[in-house]
Amino acid sequence: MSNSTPLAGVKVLDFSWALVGSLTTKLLADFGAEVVKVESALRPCLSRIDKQVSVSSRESLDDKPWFSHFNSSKLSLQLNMKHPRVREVINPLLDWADVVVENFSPGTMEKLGLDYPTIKTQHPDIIMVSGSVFGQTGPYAKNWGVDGTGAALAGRMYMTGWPDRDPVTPSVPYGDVVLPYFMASAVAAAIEHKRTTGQGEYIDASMYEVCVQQMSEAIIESQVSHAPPFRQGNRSRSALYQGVFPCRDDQWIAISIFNEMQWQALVNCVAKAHAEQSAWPAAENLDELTPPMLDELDALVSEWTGSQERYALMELLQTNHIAAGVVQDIADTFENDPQLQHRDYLKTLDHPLLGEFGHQTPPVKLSRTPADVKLAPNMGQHCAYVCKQIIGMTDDVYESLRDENLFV
Amino acid sequence: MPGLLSGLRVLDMSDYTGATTGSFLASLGAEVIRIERPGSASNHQTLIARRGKKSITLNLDDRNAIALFKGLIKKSDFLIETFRPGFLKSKGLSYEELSTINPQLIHVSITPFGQTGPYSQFLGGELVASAMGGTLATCGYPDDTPVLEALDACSFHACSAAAMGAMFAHRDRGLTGLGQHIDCSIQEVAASRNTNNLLSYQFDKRKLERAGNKVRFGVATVRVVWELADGYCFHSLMTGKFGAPANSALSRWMTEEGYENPMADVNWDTYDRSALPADTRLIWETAIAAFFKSKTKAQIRNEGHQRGIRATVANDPTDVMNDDHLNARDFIRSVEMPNAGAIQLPDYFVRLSNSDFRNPANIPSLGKDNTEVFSQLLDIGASELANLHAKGVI
Repeated sequence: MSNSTPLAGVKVLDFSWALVGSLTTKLLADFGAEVVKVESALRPCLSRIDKQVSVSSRESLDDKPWFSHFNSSKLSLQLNMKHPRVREVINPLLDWADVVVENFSPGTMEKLGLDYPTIKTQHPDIIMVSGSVFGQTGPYAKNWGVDGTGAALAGRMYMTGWPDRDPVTPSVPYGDVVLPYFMASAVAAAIEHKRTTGQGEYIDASMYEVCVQQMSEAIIESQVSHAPPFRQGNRSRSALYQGVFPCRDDQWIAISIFNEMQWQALVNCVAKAHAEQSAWPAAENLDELTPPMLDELDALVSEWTGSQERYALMELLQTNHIAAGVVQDIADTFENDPQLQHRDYLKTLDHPLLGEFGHQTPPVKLSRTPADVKLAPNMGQHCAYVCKQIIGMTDDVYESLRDENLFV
Repeated sequence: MPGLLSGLRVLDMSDYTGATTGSFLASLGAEVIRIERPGSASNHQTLIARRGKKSITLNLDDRNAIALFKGLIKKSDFLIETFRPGFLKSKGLSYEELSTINPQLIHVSITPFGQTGPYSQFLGGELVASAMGGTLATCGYPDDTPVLEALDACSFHACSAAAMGAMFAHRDRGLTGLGQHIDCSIQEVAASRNTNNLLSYQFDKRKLERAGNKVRFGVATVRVVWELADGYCFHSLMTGKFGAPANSALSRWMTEEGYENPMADVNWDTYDRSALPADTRLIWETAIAAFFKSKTKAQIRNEGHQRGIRATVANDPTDVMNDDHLNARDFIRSVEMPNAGAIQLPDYFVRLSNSDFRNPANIPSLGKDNTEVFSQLLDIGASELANLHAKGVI
């Protein structure tokens, strides 16, 4: 067993699809777990057919960068789950596995005879995790939902945007990419718990609930404050004063002030160029300013930032001990960010159909046991390996199952 | 059965941006000791940050405090902190130094940009990290300033990633007996959400920019936030057979109630949102907007659900606390706050079947556990404790 990755030796039977489950098992696989992804061309994951980029074709299941990213480091076992002989592969894999991961609609695993109570009868120490929008129990458990559903239900959507406009939603997912970290964390905690106690665990992870956790502060406010919490643009209780301000060439910079010293530094920077210092409120009065007064303040700062080059301004403000960051778009983070590059946030892998492209590495770095991101599998690439090497099937049995179209 | 992390001790010195990692570990049964400066102000953020934890105080500017801290490190399994990189080293408390005291220690650092690199000394916070990570640019109206997501979304996400690093290291420590340093950058975690954007950009140089109350799916920009009579809902027309039942249910409802319905004759089985001409989409969305504006949140929750239109009310925080589903799962819990009585709060992060561990139903006041922690872990007597307190060390 290699010591170079923290999950070396962990065996995962992976029924995940779409985003939540696939990211969970990607994280486990990138950190060294052996992950057997069960999938089928009869019902391919959306990410194997979604044509978001021009290089992807309708004909192939193997030329989708989205799939490649979310399924790095895994093995692909192509399997018709409705085949009468499927249990000849699934049962030995259940014997082999430490962990089962799935994110189907609640009830689906039960129909396959693969729900936790059923698996547990033969494998009492199995660790299983189910990810879903609502969780496995409760009146809405079987309701439909996507990433935005969680944001809407949890209050994230209501609380995001300007007070005088419709709420907004970012063009990137949230709940779908946060939940997997909690799932993977709980799996690792359960693995270590099992090592010391011999006990298995079932983990029911709800994207809605994790999004509600993120809204805890607003939930307290709604019970104790006279003014109910409401979306407030870029203002925040975390900062004395903050905002997003225009820069030269239709660009933006974010500035946050957390204490009196930083406020004075900002006033000095701006006043040097423009307004009289007397026009500025003292730091201790900032939280008493009305929204129109804050808007006036924003206008003063904007007048100063508006003519400046954004990266130079960020350096200037940071030199003056003020938290400031360029509002970077994808071209900026991909092409120009020396910090992300320093952290090796992309790993270039040479895909057989797509060529070389950068795959995001897990964004948390472990000093002694780093991640090792490997290329995602083609559909069914590891059928023979899984059957013969992992579960020890004979060539004859493997060939008969293959000839009966199990591996489709 | 106790929790998955019962018997493990965590020192949590994070600020509000890193507090969720310790709260999650506490929810799995770890003993989490939150360390704050003596006399720290209490507000809702600092109280939430103490959920499920013990509270002690320690002033690291005092030499005596450093010795106490090293004593606690010797008896702990995890340290979580959010100091500016280099601060702990200046106190003689870098990972390298702490690991000589306790080689099993897992030291978790959560910072805006990470421990090393050209921006590591930059000051951050939620807004700046989300700006630099590329998520802020994807949120807001195209004709307006980019706008922050609710509360501290990217910091919370970073806490989940830091927890994962801590748990993976915990598994490794179980086999090797060795700890390590976990380096989590809020900027990089924010950037990790941008996968679609990154792939579109790498292959086609296309950017998915902010679209306000709409969302860009590939080449189509689709409205997803709709005003109701008394709030908002989330809804979009989804492609093909997958979306057909819900799309036709909405169309039928509009027709039945006599609303103008330009979608009445659409064959939803073949509808493709990427192929729909923009001017047709505008006509449809105008009609849908008029319909939703006439409906209340209650109508969308009840009749909308029965009809299967797949619209979700954008709950406000009060709606969340009153939600039948969350209450049926026992997720909403009454928690005693210092000086504020009982408050309804979300409880667990994930639900476990075989562990019946639950967080204590109260949040401690600042320093409530000083006596217990310092006397039990470091064997400090009452008079010495009083002395440390008088000197402002604790």
